Amino acid sequence: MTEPLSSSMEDYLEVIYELAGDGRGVRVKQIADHLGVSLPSVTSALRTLSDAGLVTHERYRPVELTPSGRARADALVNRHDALVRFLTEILLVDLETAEGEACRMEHAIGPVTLQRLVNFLQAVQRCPRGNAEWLNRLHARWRGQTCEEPCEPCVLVLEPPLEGVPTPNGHGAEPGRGLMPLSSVGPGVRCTVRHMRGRGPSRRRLADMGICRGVPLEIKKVAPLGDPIDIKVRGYHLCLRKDEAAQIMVEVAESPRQPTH
Amino acid sequence: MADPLVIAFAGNPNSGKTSLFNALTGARQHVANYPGVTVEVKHGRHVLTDGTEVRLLDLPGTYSLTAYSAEERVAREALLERQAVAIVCVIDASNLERNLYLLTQLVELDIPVVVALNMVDEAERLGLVIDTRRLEKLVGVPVVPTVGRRGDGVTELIEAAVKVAREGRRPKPFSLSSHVEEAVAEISPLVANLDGLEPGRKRFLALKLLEHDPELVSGAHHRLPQEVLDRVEEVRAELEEHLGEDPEILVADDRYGIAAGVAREVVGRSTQGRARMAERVDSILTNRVLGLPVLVLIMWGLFEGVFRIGGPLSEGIEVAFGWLGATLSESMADGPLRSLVVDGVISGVGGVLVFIPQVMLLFLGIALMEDTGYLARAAFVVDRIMHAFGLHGKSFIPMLLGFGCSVPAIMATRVLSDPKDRLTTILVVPWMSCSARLPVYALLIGAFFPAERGGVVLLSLYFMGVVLALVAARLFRSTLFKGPSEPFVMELPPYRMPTARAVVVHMWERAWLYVQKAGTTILAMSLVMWALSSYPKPPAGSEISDLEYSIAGRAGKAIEPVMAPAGFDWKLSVAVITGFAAKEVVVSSLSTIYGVGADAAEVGELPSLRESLQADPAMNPLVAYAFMVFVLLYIPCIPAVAVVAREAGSWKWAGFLVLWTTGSAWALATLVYQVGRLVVG
Repeated sequence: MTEPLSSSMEDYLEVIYELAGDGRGVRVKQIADHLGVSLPSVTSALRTLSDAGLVTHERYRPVELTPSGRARADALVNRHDALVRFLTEILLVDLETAEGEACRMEHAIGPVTLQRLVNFLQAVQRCPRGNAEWLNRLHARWRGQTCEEPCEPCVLVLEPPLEGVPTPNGHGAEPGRGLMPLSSVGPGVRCTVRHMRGRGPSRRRLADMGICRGVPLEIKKVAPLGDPIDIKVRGYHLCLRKDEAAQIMVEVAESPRQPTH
Repeated sequence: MADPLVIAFAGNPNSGKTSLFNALTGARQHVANYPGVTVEVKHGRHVLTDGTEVRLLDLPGTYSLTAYSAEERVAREALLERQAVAIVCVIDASNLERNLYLLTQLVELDIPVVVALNMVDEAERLGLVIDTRRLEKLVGVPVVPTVGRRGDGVTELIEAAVKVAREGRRPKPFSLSSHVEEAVAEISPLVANLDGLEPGRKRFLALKLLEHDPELVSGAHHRLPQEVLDRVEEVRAELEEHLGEDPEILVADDRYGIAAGVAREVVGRSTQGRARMAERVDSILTNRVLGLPVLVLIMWGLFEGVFRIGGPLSEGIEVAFGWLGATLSESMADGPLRSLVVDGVISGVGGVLVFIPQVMLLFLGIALMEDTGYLARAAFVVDRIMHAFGLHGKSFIPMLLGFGCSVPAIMATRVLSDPKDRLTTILVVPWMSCSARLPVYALLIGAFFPAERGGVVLLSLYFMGVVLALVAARLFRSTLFKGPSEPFVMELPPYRMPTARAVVVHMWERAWLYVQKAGTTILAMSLVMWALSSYPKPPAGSEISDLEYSIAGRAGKAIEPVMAPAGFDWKLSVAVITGFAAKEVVVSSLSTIYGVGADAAEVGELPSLRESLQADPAMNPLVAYAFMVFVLLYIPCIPAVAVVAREAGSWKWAGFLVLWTTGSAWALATLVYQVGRLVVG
């Protein structure tokens, strides 16, 4: 039911989708500005998309996505996210590089490979304490850290430490770079939820309390014995144990503010 | 006349449902409002200006219609079973986004809904301005601004609810994202023809199946054919494959998307939220260094207050009862009737009523901690410790309530959703020394310990109960209930200044229950004890005292050998047995025993129980302490055992509790007495 689109058409679709955001129409000028192309090329691209039934576009009227265009763009954005997650969370590439590369990769790989990649990511991360143990050790090795637990000999032998692998540590982290578990973020830091690990009822409970992808939150304080932590999310205070916080991958938006008192 | 309209109050915890409910029904209902979380559906009545009677249901607070804990299940069942013809969704105006999340689910139940935009005064103080009309348009149901604690807007609210109920105006569910809607559209036709499914619930059921709601999938409400479940699994798998998330998470994300969008549209800020007093207070109460010491200090202050302020007040009551007993003794002729009234009723019931001041102060303290929001902070501060003992930060709330009464405390364990956490907490809550044990301590501490050390002795008993409860929890967690603990995800409610009225009502209700208990259980037990310790009369001219010859005396003598290692003589042994009914009865039994035992010649100058105990050569501070330890630990009263059986779902656990606590009590009282004897020499 979906005919293949050229990579540039996919880019157009994604941009319209992003600009449309809250459902209002998008101006041709906006698209042109965003992609750095001329107005006539946008018009011609829109004609192609409109023929494919993905957008509605009349002269002097804003561009709107049709339901199938929206679904298609959704899938594209999702594909993009999956790639970014793979690059940042498994290969530990920094977010900026990952974003750029994902843009190029997403047009190059087919649906089957992409789906496998998503499956792989899920399989590795589904049980972060059990199955992903080897992954943590591999990451530690890349970072040149020593494992407290005896490492798998093959990882030690085969994998040399790598240069430029970000460390998931509250102090070393720079704003806007890479994802880290909420449990390693210090008090006073504002961050955005990018991804949740783990499944099942506790994940559901967190979702019911408003912890979803994209929601901003701030760590307010840590309990006297270091656990649990108090976070401010959606305008109220929620406390979580570090175990739960470790399941929430966030992107730090801002360096810790200096306490005012 | 038609059946009265039934209207349910639903909402997030701390949204002020109960204060609205009380404003409409008058504060006191036939189900007591236990200090603690609303764990049961409460019923009330309200009469409209036109004379129509409306029945109101106050549901336990819930964040979502996905039920995790027993109390949330209670709320959900009441709504699913259509016990109400309209729902009032109570929304905390200062926390719109999260509260709207529940509304997005309530509107799917096919029951008319009205929103109570509650605590608008608090929102205003925070600098939030809410466009009510716009909110009404966006959510598609009537919105009435209210201030529950002042009763503002409640009449308009109930009228709006009655109006939508009469019109049968069903709310329109919100549209979720296209993927979810497509999946719902696939599932809906499958469930359309199920037996007993009302057409209006089709969307609700389809969504719940998509979310893989355990109870609905297992067919607790509708028997679902296997092929439907298989197809639902396929749809779920497709959605998950497509979007890389569990469908239930996608649905929650969508709902929060709606809630956040609506909140953004309707909330304006008039002034920047000021740095508030509460924030500063909070930074001390939950401070990394000060948090725990402050908690200990608050607890110490509570018990000191109970003892130091309560003590003199209760002595006043003691004097009054002493005078009443003496006056009646003088005016009545000697005989069984006088003995019944003076030794049975006055000393039995009076012995218990004397401690009303302490009980009221204790409940005042608990009500204050709860209403201000400190209780949740305390749970936050101690979670790490509780966790080390295999308990949960939320277990702290029932445990603290256990200082008041084990019965509501055991019911409050419903906040825990994991059955293992919950059973462990239920089994250790009885060791949190309840207020019924307070009279026993107050009596014995008053008699055998100097006043300046009273508070410390009292605190040591409470402390012992807490420590033993924690140790027992650890033991249960590593033997009976192995496995991981439930995640600790708890809201820290905003600090609120409690209204004097709410606190006094809390305190008064508890005190009134205590008085009622004195008038019923304890009166009856006193009469039984009087009879058992007065009859049969010894033959004339016998050396033996009346009491020793009586049934109670003989029973006490029979178990004396068992209790002797703990230092108890037969009189204490009898008192312990009678305490099964209620722990205060230990005091009234002692009163009756020593009352009956007192020499009739001394009538007119009836010694107080305290003086009688001090005069008894079998008693000394060590025996008193061992006895208090025993009373702290042994079998909780009969009502508590019954509640354990009900909440744990089997008499097996209640039986286990009885044996375990009584065995431990004997062992520890013996240990205290024997070690104490070695030390004292």
